[in-house]
Amino acid sequence: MLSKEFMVNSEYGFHLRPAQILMESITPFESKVILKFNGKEANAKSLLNLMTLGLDNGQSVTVVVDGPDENEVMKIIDKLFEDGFDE
Amino acid sequence: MLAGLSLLIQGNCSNGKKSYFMSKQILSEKNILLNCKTESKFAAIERVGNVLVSEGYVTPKYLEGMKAREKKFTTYIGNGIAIPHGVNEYKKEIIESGIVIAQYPKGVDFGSNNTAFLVIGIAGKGQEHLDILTKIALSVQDEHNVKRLTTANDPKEIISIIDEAMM
Repeated sequence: MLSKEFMVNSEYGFHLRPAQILMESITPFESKVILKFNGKEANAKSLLNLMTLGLDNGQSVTVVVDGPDENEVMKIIDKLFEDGFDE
Repeated sequence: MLAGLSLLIQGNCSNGKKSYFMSKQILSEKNILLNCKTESKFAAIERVGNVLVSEGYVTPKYLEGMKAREKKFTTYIGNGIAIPHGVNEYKKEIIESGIVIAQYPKGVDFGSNNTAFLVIGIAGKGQEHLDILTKIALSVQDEHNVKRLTTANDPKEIISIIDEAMM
């Protein structure tokens, strides 16, 4: 299991596009991905779940990846946050 | 029978006549379409998109962006909800943030065995629409609320169900 904290660096918060990009990017993988924010948890493979976090630009979120391909998945997530979820 | 009758009286999809608040709101009663007849997903996207246009939230061009998004990846998010919105390149077509909710009691086929009973068109600019979006997501996480939203027959009811969500 891997856990890492990220800062949301996306002009328009995290709700729509970034959440969708994250969901699309990790869905093909086996690992379970959970986002933790403000006492709430969301399964990153569910856009609806991600949207309930109410995560905005500049806030930090803990990402937990657990599964056989967790290293690869965390690398992808790392890059997404680094690039600010550019489409 | 009953649906056919209300169709005769109200035309397809009736919406609330007055704004919920004094100033232009992101989500007002006018932005809620009740009892829409089942149609294709692109027709449904056009329907909510057209209200975004007529209520002054977006330019007509924004609809192209909404369809492009749907072609790229479905905006069906689970629990009978789809949230069509434009791709990034069409952001400049947004005048003000707005949300339009169309209720389809019999659903709209969004592909891959997904049926949307609520099609929620979104034009998001800046941060102001995010709270409402979070509230909608929190609300529809509960299937019971999806049922209530799908059977509501007053735009006020839809707004108050969404408003119940605790952030």
